[in-house]
Amino acid sequence: MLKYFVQLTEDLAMAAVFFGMLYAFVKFRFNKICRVVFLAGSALSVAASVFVSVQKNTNTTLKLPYWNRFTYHLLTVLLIASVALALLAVLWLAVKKWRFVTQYFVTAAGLCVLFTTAVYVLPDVLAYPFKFDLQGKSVFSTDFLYRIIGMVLGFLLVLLTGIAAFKLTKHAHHATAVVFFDIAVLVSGFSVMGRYIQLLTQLQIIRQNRDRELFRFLFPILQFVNNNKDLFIFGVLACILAVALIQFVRSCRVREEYDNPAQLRKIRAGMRNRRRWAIVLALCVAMSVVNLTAIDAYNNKKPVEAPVEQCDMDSQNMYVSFSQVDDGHLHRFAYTTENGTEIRFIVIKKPNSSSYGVGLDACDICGEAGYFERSGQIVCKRCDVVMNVNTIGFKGGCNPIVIDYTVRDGQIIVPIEGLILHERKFK
Amino acid sequence: MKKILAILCAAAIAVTATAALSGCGNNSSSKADSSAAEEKKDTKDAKTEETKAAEDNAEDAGFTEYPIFEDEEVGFMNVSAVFFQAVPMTAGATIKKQKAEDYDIHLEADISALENTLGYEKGSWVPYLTVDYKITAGSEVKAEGTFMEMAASDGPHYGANIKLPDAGTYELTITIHSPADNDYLIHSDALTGPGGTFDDYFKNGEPLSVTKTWEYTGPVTV
Repeated sequence: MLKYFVQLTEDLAMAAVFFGMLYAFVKFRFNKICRVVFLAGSALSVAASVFVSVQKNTNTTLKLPYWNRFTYHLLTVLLIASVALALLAVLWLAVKKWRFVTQYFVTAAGLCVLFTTAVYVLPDVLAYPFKFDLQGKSVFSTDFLYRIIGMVLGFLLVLLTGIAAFKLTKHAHHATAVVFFDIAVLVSGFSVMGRYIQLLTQLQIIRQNRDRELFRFLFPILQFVNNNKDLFIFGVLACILAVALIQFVRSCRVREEYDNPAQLRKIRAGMRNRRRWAIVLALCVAMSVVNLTAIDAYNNKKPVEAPVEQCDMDSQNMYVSFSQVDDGHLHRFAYTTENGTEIRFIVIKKPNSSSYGVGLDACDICGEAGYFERSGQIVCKRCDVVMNVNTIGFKGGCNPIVIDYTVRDGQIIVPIEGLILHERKFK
Repeated sequence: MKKILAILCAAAIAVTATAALSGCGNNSSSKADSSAAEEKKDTKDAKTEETKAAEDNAEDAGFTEYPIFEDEEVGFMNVSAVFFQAVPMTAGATIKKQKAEDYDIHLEADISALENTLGYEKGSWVPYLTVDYKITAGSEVKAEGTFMEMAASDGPHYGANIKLPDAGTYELTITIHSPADNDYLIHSDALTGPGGTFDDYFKNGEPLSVTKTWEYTGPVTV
């Protein structure tokens, strides 16, 4: 669930802020023709995204190189349109007498950015539910439901951020709105540039060996953008947060003139409304930041390994009592050889059974990586494969390597000699 | 006047959008295609037939392998390392399955036999190896583990899905253990044996390794 909550925020936060701000421009500062064209273009963008998503995931004749080229062309247009939009917005602000003309060009450039952004980002987002790896579980399982809930939460967060951006940009001064909008467009444009450079290398338009100087120049840019993706999202969120702060401060004191108490009440209601939207936006930004940092870190934290437990032993055997391992969880034990090698083995009580799964904390395929317990499941640390607990103790696949043991007098007795045979696995 | 301007703007948007989409066709004469073709020609002679065949198979299968290093001679083996997008893997319904969604790339070692006295046919994939990988940035280990044996549409190889989100300059070390460690035997009689033993290449049973610097451009996404 958390993975998709984070993922949706990462994928759509910048686009939501951009769309909210741009639509506020078009709706409240441009004429009706621009509004109609913009809305039609927005609808077309969504339709095109759905079309591309379906093609990407169902049309088997169009393969990876095709989609890489597709993304390359898409990003070319996006980058050019982003720069054009930033410049045209400044022109619209600076030259009042040209505003009638520049509003069309701003709308056109904005739609290009919107269209390419939507077709770049949305198809993958739309396809997430069809790509959930449920490890054989049905779409009616709680696993599927949790992931959908994560997506919905993420979508609601970015939707609310976008609406707040729209409401706040609507009331902002032209200069404030244009300046922060431009910064947001350039920040997101720079992040797109990193992906663009990556594509140039992946498509081998730029070759690491042939175009050595060019690659050396571009590689740090690519590296910075790729390794600091969230920084660009925070940059865009900071832009709209700045607009919100300005709105909040301006809405604390009545500056407008009024003729009667009714007008004053109306002005105050408007101010209250703007303050509330500023607070909503600040909360959305805070939630997004928490989402992309703390929640993401929590979601990716390394699993806690079961500690190596002590058990009785003599010169020939190790003795694990049932009472020590009958809780249904993974238990780990170890024997240290004369060479100092720690040979680990695991014991787990099988569900709905009185038998135990016993094997080395290693498998033939992934070596000594071992296993950990995650939500009641036993998972290989190296390849993340979920084990069928009932087959632990049987040979094959990614199952723990089988070891000799006997069960007697409420104990699992593991011969040390049998463990030493596997010493090489743990070196 | 207003209407004319509006129509012109709408036309500009339509043309730009169409250009963006139409440029992606299979028959595109983009720079990507021409430069890739040109480069392919340049490096054609430098690669072994095995590597070239593997690349061709991958391209035919519709995916692109990004080379880390190619055609390194390690003992009796030719070793190449490539990466591409993380892929799901399975060995049957109940035995083993690995998902792709939590990983950044699929790292792969293509290991084929050179001329040898061990009975491997030249150019064929070498089975029964334990192959470890280690990716470091300075003294920091970014990823390490043991490859699994698997097959893709371009043939069998050693590989693993790994997490490597950050672009950067890394060192990739591939360590190859002797097949003898996995109890692979060689006929030792004069009549049927190939003439050599693994000791000829793995001195005292020590593994062989190759280390290369790699400028990694980040996870492969589409």
